[in-house]
Amino acid sequence: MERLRERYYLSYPKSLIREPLLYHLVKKFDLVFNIRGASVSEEMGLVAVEFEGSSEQIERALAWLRQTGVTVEPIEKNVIE
Amino acid sequence: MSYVTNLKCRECGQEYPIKPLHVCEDCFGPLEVSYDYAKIRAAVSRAAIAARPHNLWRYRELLPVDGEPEAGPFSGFTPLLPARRLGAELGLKKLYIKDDTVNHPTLSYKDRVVSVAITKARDFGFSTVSCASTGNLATAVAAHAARAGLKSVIFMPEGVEAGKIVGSSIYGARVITIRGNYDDVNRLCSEIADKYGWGFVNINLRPYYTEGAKTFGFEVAEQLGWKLPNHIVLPTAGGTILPKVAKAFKELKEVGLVHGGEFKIHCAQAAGAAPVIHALHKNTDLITPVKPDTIAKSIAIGNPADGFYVLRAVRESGGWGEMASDPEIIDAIKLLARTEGIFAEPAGGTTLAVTLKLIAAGRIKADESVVVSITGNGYKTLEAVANSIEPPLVIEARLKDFDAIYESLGDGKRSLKGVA
Repeated sequence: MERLRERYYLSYPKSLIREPLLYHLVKKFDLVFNIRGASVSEEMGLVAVEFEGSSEQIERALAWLRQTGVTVEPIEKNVIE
Repeated sequence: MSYVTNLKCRECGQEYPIKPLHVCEDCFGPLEVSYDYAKIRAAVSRAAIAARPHNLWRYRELLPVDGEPEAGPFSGFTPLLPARRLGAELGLKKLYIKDDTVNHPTLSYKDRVVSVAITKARDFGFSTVSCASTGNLATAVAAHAARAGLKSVIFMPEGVEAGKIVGSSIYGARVITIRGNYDDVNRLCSEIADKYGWGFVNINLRPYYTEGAKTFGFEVAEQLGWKLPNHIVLPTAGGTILPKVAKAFKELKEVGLVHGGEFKIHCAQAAGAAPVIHALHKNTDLITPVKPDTIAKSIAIGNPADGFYVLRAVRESGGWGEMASDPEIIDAIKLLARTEGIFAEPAGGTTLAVTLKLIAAGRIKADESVVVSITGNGYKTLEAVANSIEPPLVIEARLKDFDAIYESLGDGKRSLKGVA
């Protein structure tokens, strides 16, 4: 199966800052991830990450993250102007 | 001859060649065009610029192009109007309106950025250009692509007003509306840009596209007699124009076209889409995305690509930012139209409404020079104010019917000549 590399920004609300979300993500979906940048404040967390896996694996992982309350966005952020 | 050296990551400084790239492979930071300022300093002069045509390419040494640009021959160099009547109402002696409502050919500031993006698209050999847009950007891409002989494909969220689709399709652009919420559309467009070899003006051409926004600042300085204003107020959506105007002002000093002069740069957002203002007021660098809800559709961006750089430019200059509610935006559109005869789209109303707040808070003083940036034309967004204007008086075609309403029209004594 074709393996893809996709890049995202994940924003965590305050309520999720203490959750080991990336750990759960790897356990559940067997994804390779590579963190390229991160910033955490009292208000929120922001992680720039590259995922490697099949298209289906990545889709399911992103759906799970969204369901958990994480905002998942392309690294371009908003491109609709 | 080009004075461009390379692309450079704004975060980690990694350098890249001049290609259609937009993010750093290492840290995902945005890439920006770098120049050889020493060479530019030796090559430019106020006199040489003054002798050039009145378009945005008069500052070509500070733009990322080689040779003669092929897009935007009449774009840019819009009026900087002394706003005396509006200034008198606001208690300002040196108030100016930078008026991009009359930018050629699509009546918004996007004609600047797209002129540069289309020129680079041709340089790079793209035959199709694209963008994701709900308004001004779509129209500008479609129009400039048509004139440059490029194919254009425009993506829009399903449900945009019919007028927006007409405004792009008329130029021969292929418009694709996408089912799904705003976030889905956004993500799909990033994926398409990644997969297909098109020139997406605000994705893989973004480093070049954004450089076009500097011309707004270059013009303000030249039109003030090569001086910087004490204050400039700019709207923020994706965060392109504000940091680029700051860059423009710094570059003019760097290359010797402007000598000294401190400026404060202020950010204006609509209250229903103000993630940058929230971060500014909370004194944090982290911008929490919002779901936009405002009549100011052209600046309704919930997670601005360059929001962080807006914050940095505002803070570095000692400026500030405020947000305006929809009613305040409408009132400001009417105020500008009533006093200066300029009809702005809601982004312009936002900028003026925020200027009023900055004056009220004592951040702008009566004798300081102030430029209010009007980036788009109100004729494109009639629906935003349609319910806020006084409805017309309706009378029969009889003089006595007019006589009956005459007094209600206010001071018309001088036109009463000859009436007994």
